[in-house]
Amino acid sequence: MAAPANSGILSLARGALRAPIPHELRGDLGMSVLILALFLLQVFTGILLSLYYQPSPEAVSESMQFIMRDVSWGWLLRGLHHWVSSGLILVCCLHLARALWGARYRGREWYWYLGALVMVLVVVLSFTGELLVWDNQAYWVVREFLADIETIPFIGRGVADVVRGGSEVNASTLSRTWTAHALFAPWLVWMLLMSNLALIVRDMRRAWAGGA
Amino acid sequence: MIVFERGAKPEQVQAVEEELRAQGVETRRVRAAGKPVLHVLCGRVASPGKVFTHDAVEGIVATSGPRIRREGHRFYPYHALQWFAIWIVVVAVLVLLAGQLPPGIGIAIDLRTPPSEVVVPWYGRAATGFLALFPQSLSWLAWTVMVAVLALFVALPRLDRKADRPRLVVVGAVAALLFAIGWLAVGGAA
Repeated sequence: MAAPANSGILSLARGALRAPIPHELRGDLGMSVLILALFLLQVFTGILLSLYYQPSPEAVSESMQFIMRDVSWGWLLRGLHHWVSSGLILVCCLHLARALWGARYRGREWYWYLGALVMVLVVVLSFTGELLVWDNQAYWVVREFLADIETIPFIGRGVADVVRGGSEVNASTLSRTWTAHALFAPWLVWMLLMSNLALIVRDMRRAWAGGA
Repeated sequence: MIVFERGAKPEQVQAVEEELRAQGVETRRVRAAGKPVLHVLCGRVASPGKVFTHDAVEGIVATSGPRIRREGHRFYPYHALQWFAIWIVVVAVLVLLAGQLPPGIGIAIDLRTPPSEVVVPWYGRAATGFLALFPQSLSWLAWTVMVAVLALFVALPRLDRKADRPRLVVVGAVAALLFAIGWLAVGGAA
């Protein structure tokens, strides 16, 4: 079957929907779409939560309680956001395990690199999200985590200071965690997922054209 | 599908139909794009070359079997429906978890008293468990090992390029590593 003609986004989308998906790419595409869908669900629930969440040490607890008790379906939004983050890590693990089991990384290095990077970033997203609760547990987890980071030879103290925003865990740490969680990491994950999909589409086009 | 040329006469179509029936192939006549078409209902066209000896036959188009196996199913409706069903199940499980096991809000920060047990998220327990195995003076070794393992994992496609290497060797090595990580995670958490 010929590849769809490049005449506008609509015709491209129509062509992609009607085009057959080669069997060897079916699993990759399915897992990528599942990861993308879970990530978009995270973005959606995250945006709604950010309407009420206040990233300052004095207001965090109150805003969290407001979300859980007073916001309509707030408990569901926070619950979904919490569980989808774990689900996302699990699905990424499955995706990598599947690639490993079938030795599918051979000759397809970029799929593996992108998958591993997404995995790391998803863990970062989830960990920073856990800290944003800013209760006693989160505070001591971040203190222990940064104490561990400080033991990295040569760069440990510098990295810990950058994450903390000083020498002590305080409002600055919360602000930086929030920025990483809501701005940097999601955009990076989005770009990596789009790159992964672009790779799959490229390989589908090659298959349509009868290439490798 | 056996496609005839536009304007093929009914007796030409019937000749092919009878020849196929003699081979045990059941067909039915339809028209598509103004051309007569024989739709093969059951049986296999054993010798397609013979069919082409009829002048009116324009081509044979396989609609199942090898062509589908080679090209794959279309996204819509085959994969779309399947994935939508999976998505519904995933969302249902997530909603159930969110409702039955909602994340809590802990007590306010106490700068002097840590909680009785500092619970690291499940995905970080292996790393913290591994770090806890080493004394403070050897923490550099723990970090070096962890970074090396991570680098080896990421660089796997560069390390394992031989197509003829049994994949069980690689899978076994990584499974052993994962087992060690899991053991550390449990040990570290304990």
